[in-house]
Amino acid sequence: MALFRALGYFFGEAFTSLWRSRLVNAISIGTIAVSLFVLGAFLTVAGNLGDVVTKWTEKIQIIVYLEADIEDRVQASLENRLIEDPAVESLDLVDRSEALERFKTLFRDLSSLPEDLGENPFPASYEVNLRPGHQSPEEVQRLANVFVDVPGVQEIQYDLLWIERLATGVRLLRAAGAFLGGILVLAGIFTISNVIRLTVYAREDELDIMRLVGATRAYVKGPFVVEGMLQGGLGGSLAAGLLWLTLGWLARDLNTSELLGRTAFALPTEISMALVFGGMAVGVVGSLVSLRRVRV
Amino acid sequence: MIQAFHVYKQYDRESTALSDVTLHVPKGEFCFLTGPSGAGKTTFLKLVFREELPSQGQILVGGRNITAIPESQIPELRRSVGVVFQDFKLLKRKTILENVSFVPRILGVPAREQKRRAFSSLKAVSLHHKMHAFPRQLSGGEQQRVAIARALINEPMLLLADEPTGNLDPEMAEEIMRLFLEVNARGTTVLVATHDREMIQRMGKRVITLERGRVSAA
Repeated sequence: MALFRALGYFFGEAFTSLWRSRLVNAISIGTIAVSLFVLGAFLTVAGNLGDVVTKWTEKIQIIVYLEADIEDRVQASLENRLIEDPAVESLDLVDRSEALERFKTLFRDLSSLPEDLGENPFPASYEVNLRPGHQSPEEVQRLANVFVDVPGVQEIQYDLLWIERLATGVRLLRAAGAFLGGILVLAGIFTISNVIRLTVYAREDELDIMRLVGATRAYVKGPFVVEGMLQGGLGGSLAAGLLWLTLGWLARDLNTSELLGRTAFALPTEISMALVFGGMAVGVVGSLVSLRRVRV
Repeated sequence: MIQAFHVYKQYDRESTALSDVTLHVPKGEFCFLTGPSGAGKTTFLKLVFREELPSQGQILVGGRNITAIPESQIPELRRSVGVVFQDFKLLKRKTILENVSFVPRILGVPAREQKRRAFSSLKAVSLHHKMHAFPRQLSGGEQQRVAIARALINEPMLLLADEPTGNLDPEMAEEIMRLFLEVNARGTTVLVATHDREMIQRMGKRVITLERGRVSAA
């Protein structure tokens, strides 16, 4: 019970102090919010892109484009050879009219292009799905080498290298985000530390009196630690809210393509929680750093 | 109650506040600590409630060697020793009821009991009717009475007062001294540091005199 009473005292004093110096505290909270917003944006976009890359990697496909005038028996022979390859799990035939429909769906602004050209420029193709365990650059390269010269094949396309480059890009983005995030977190700690120190200096007389009548250090420091925690938590909440709004606006207004889907601009709950609790942790650390340097 | 043995306090080579101070204040006594400004009165009181440590020597309070206790036990010591200062040292942003109830609050006493004790303490100094006032709304004498109420709320074994009437007019000063006498009559040891010779003579209590950091009479 004594602990609850002490916590009640800490929170009460913290709220009073936050309200009393609301302008300074608002600036501090705003600074934390900006830092955590940038960090959260990096983490969200990098994380979501990483999920997309992972999905694509699991669905590596080779696309075998067919010659425009391929004969039925040549096409059937090609299809059999593909099915019989040990690395191939399944085939999906995309005929020319379906290819045209897909183009019109993906690129709505260019949907009149085929009519303008006067003919359907899209070839038919086989989308080759690989078996699990065969989804490697070596297998993909082998298949491409085997089938590139087979009659009826115009071109073989595989997106593995591009996915790997994208994955590397995402890793770099994550590393940059972590580095920048680290700097921003330090900036947040520094900001809160200084605000708390100013508060302590402003209330130095009060703290002296508390010590002289027998308050323990924990009792004297407690309200400041809680105040720092609240500043950080409010900053984190503000950052999460701004991030949610920003990402929602981007997802709506950029009209994200079907390739990326809306997942690139979705705000995972874990990131929101991390921002709030991370903000609180930054606040606590900032306060403790500050309180070590002043006599309480 | 207070036993000091060969206590020295040096701030630096040129500044010696106390030099070989040995004195004894028995339990239940009312005693003045006097001397000119700079004699070491405030310094001695600060050593007794462990605001500072002596450079040499030992001090026992209530049989406990306070020069040897760890920092973590200092709050406990201060709760058993009431201190009254010349500048009152009240929390300006809190009402006088909150000022007085702060002491039981930090002990984890329930809120209702805090208020009851604080009210009782303020009543003892005849200020219960102003319990919701802030310090700035009170006179100097009233503020000092609030400080005394706060110092006494835990029924301390020892009450220290550092120039408690320094900022007060003679009438107020008399009133404060009367309060101290009442407190002493209830069994609390009282040690008052003051350079007010007239007051000391009127009260007729034991006097310990410091001069340039040394005990010249006890």
